[in-house]
Amino acid sequence: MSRKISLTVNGAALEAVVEPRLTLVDFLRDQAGLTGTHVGCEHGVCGACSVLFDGAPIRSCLMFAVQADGHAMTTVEGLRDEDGSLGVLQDSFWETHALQCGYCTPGMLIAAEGCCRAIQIRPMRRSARRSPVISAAVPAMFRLSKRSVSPRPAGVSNR
Amino acid sequence: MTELSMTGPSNRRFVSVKRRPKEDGRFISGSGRFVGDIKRPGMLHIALVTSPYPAARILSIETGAALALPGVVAILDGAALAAVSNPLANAVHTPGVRCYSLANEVVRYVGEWVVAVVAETRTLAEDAAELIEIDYEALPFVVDAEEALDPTAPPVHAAHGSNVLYHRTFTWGPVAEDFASQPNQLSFDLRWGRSAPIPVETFGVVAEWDAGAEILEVWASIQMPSYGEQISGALGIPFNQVRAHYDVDVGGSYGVKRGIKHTVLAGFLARKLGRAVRLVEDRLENMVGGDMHGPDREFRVAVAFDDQGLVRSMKLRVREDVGGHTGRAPFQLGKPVSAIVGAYQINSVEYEAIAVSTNKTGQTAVRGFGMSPTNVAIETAIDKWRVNWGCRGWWCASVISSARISSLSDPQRFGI
Repeated sequence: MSRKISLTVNGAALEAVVEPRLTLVDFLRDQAGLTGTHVGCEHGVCGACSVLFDGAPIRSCLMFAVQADGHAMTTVEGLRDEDGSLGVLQDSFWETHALQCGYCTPGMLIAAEGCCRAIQIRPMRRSARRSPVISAAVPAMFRLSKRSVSPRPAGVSNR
Repeated sequence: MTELSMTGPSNRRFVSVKRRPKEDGRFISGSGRFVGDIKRPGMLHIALVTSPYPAARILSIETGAALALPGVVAILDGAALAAVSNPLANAVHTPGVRCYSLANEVVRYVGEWVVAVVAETRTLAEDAAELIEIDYEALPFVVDAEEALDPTAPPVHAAHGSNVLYHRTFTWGPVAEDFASQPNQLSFDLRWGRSAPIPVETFGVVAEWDAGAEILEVWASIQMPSYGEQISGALGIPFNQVRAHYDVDVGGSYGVKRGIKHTVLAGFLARKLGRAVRLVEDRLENMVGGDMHGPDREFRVAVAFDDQGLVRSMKLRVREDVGGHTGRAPFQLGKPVSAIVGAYQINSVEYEAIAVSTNKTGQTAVRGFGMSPTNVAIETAIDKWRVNWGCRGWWCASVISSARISSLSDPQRFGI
């Protein structure tokens, strides 16, 4: 009953054999080993499990892995710059401490990434600015793109 | 004396210097280590069969079909667990009240765990859980604390002899005299309804028995004190044989992440099976039978004021609806004892605390361990007194505010 799927995750081609009932988030975490994406409400409400699906944010708890066959995913692990350093958006979240416990932060980052990609073609909608923390982080991204950053704690490298 | 400057650049390393929180680095890069990220060699997974009844006797449990499923390793019910473990502690003397991770003989609330299935994957464990057939005899139930006080109400813990788990009156100072000497009095009822804080991350635990060192290793989404003590007490092993790893990231809690019943179950199975065992609640398990309910209280409040509007005396009667499991209630009724007058200076206080069992979900420690309802009762008394004495309209808020300030404890009493 299992099916073979081929997909691209964070730029790398993957092939896997999955049960049709396996959700995309369980596949990413348990089979692809990308535990940065977290399972939250498990019914599409909270957004913690968001990943980019062909460039647009989706909730990976509401999709089956077999539906991702032939498509490209980006998870929080794929938000780094090409040289491996933190992406500007990740750096902005850190700069502005745009998180508390950090559990849903990967979903926030993916949503903001989707937002930033969208505003390259149209202005950011008001709804995206509602959260005070995130509304501070996204403008900070533009500020930080000039790379005038505050010091990171001693001993913490730009992993 | 050092002169403090409020302006100018800081020459300090940490204070007033913009710095990045160290822990954010792993959260924004997706490299946090939450309990769902912890994997141990040969790790098994638990799924649960839960009660659809608020009160019922368990007549039989048929596990044959589930055990025959490939990948299923073990099935545990409450009778087997109760035979070899101690009841979960509730910190109050409640004779005859015995709560375990799994229901034993009777179920006491909807969602109570009845059977645990252990399998090679969580998916297999859930498949097997669906094959388990449990025969129940439905029993009368009670879900209202006032009704539960009636001696003819269905007993939630029959061996206790009554639904009253705790009833004690605390008195500080001359309450009767103060009420007799103050003509300005007010009484009212107040209800603090149950709340259910739901963290984005459900509770989870991974337990592994180190047979060589004879130590139970526990990784959990936990931040509560006395966690290891309660686990060792229930499992009947010394405290120094439980090693709780407190370096696991926690995805929200609000105080509800207690996880004693989860950890005792996973710990027992890990030791019995000799393999690491994981129990991570799914959202249904979390919201129906997990640790998530807060206090559920009805207050009767009486206050006596003097002519300056200062509270001289207060009587609080509180009835707590504990639910079917003792958990953190009725112990939480004791927290207000340490702060019974809030921020105010009140000459005398009477506090009558009654904890009642019902067939609802049990309680856990939500947001400050049971103090918030009492604070609401005290603050409501101050508000009501001013309104009751003709303080209405736009200036009411400032009068209430001044009533609060004039009733506050004298700062000098704190040595300030």
